[in-house]
Amino acid sequence: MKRWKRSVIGGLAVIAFLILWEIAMPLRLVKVADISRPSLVVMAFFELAESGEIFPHLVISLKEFIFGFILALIVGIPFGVVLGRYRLPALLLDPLLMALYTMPRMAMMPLLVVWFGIGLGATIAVVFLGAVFPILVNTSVGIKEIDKIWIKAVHSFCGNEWDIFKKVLLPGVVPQMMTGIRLGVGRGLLGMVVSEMYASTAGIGGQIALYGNSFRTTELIALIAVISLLGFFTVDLMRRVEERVRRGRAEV
Amino acid sequence: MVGLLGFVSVWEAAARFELANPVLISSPTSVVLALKNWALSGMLLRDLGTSLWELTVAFGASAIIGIPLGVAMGWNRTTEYALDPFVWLIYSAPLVSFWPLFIIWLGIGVKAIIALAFLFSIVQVIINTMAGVKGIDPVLVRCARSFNASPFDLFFKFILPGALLMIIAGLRLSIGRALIGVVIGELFSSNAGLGFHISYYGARLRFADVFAGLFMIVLVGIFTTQVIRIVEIRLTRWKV
Amino acid sequence: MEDIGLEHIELLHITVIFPQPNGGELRAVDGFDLQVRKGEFVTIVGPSGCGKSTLLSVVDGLVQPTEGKVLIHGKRVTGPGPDRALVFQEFALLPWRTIEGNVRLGLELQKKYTMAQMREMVPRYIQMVGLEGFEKHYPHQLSGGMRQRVGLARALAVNPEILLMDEPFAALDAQTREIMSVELLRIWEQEKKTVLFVTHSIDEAVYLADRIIVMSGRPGRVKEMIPVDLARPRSLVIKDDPGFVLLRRHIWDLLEEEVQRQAGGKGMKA
Repeated sequence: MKRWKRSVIGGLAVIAFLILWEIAMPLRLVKVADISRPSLVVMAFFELAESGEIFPHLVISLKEFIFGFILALIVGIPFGVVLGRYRLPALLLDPLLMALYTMPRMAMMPLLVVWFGIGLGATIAVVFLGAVFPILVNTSVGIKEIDKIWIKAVHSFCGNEWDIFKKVLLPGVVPQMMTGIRLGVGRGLLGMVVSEMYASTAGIGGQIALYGNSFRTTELIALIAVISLLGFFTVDLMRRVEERVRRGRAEV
Repeated sequence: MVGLLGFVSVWEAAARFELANPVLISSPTSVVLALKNWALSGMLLRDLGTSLWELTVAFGASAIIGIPLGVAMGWNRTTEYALDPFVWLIYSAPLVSFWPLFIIWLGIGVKAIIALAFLFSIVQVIINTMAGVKGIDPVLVRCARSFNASPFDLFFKFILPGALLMIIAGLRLSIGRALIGVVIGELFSSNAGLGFHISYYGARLRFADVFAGLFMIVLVGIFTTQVIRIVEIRLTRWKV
Repeated sequence: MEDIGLEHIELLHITVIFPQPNGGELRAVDGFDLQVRKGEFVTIVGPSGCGKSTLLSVVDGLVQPTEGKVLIHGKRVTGPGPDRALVFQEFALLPWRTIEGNVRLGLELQKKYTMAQMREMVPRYIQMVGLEGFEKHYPHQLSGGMRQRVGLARALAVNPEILLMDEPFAALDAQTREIMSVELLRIWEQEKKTVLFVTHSIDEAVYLADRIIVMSGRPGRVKEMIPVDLARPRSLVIKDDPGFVLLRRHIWDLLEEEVQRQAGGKGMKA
């Protein structure tokens, strides 16, 4: 019952917002510059889709994101496992990681652009930096949270380190790791857009910067809506997957 | 600590012995030098001041607007359902994409930066406040009702103190996000501030200065977060 | 010198000392001696914190004793092995595996069988503990008693000579405990394992055992060894048998003594 209520009220609120927005300019409700109208935005969106103009950029953005994210997984998960399981590396690396975590990677943009080149390189780097920390940290937390009794059980049945890793650590870390991956996706997406906008190159971010610079508000809003919805659905999807995983395995 | 010292030494060594191009990676000593120059020229004060000002306004606004909103959402289901889609959208969308919009509306300058930082920050405040209010022990609410407490008392004597912890934690997280917003905005277009400093020297390939800027940003981040942390700790005295 | 007598397990002057973070030391077990014959069901009962669980860990090879040694068939124990299996108080089932997968775990870790062989072996043990039909279920869908049966099946599946049971029924409610005790004896009569069973419950200790070892409080030593002459097979009715009642009384007195001693003998009931 509640779920239904939630969607209805939410939906109504969104519709009310869109209506207000639509009539804001004709009725002179706002004093700011051009804010366009939903109807125009929707039309612009379809135009962009039809002309196919948008797709190459989407593809580029997607490629950059996937590359950077997979890299983050490859680095983040193993490191997370090691840091979670063994005390010594954790003690050594923790403060370093903390420092890197607090560093706003966006501020590193100029650096990254020079190190990795405008466009693809820098964006992949930013996506990587954004995603790798949540993945690493959450994986290590997930490992630490694993009930030690399972390790003892495998040990008592003559399992070795590798057995423990395969049969206990890997399956056991999945829920917390999913949380890290979800957070990583959000931060990775943000990084992707920042990088593309900064270097004003291809990709969605680059297009956004372009339209912004030429004051084409309607197209701009259309693109912003696209990327926002993309972010929204991706994070929502990840959240559902995460919930599914957690639910399917109540603790014993 | 050991790790950090180790890292700094490796860095210095790498630069000294030219293990990697010193121009590209700079070195701790030159960074310190750059910091000194920055400070001596008086620019540090100006940049720091600008960024802090923007940060304060954005953060302050997000707290003043965000907390009541969060309370309303936590307290009233209908409000929550109505505002939820918007909150979630702002939470999951890459907020940077709004930047050009702000430029168009508010012009290039401090206002747009504050607007972006505000957006970055307010989401965290709302989410945490809402969680705090929702997490109130229903037994306490029943208790308040049994004593016939007025809505005013109910709110200020029962709900707010209980939710305070979550709210402060939310503020701690959001000030960090506001800082990120400020830096990003300054990176894109400004003529003063920490982000500007980085962008300016980055364009001129003077990386020691860039690192100096990064260092200052981290410092500000740690400082502001710690201040709130102290408030948080003092308020948690009653918790086990 | 190899001692191949009737002794299956020999604990020779086991002492376990844990160093404490503040520099002191914790003597969990002190000079514990015990010989166990093959096929014997030995229960170990003692006050809280007397080192019972530590003892089992030592026999299983998970913990090395500071002094003394454990011999099985005359050979020294240096680590876990296929001849011993541990059953845990907290069940220790992997929540992401089905019942079938959990029972199979021990076999997998032996690294001796193919998947096909294991698949064939497992059903017998699931049946033995009375859980047919639940193979595809997950631990969280089962009650506490059923989960412990899985733990038992897992241990039995590797066909150990020795079953080490660490307060296995402590987490179960009173009625389930009783049922499980009966079940355990039934399986034991069938499989003829040597069992070391640690428990808090005097009832359980007497009901199940051929011999009861009463442990002293920390540091753990053998306070008394009591043979149990009650006839087998034993049904629950035996708990009213005068012999049973006497034994229970006796152990209760012994334990009370220990608890008093630990509390400083102030005369307060623990």
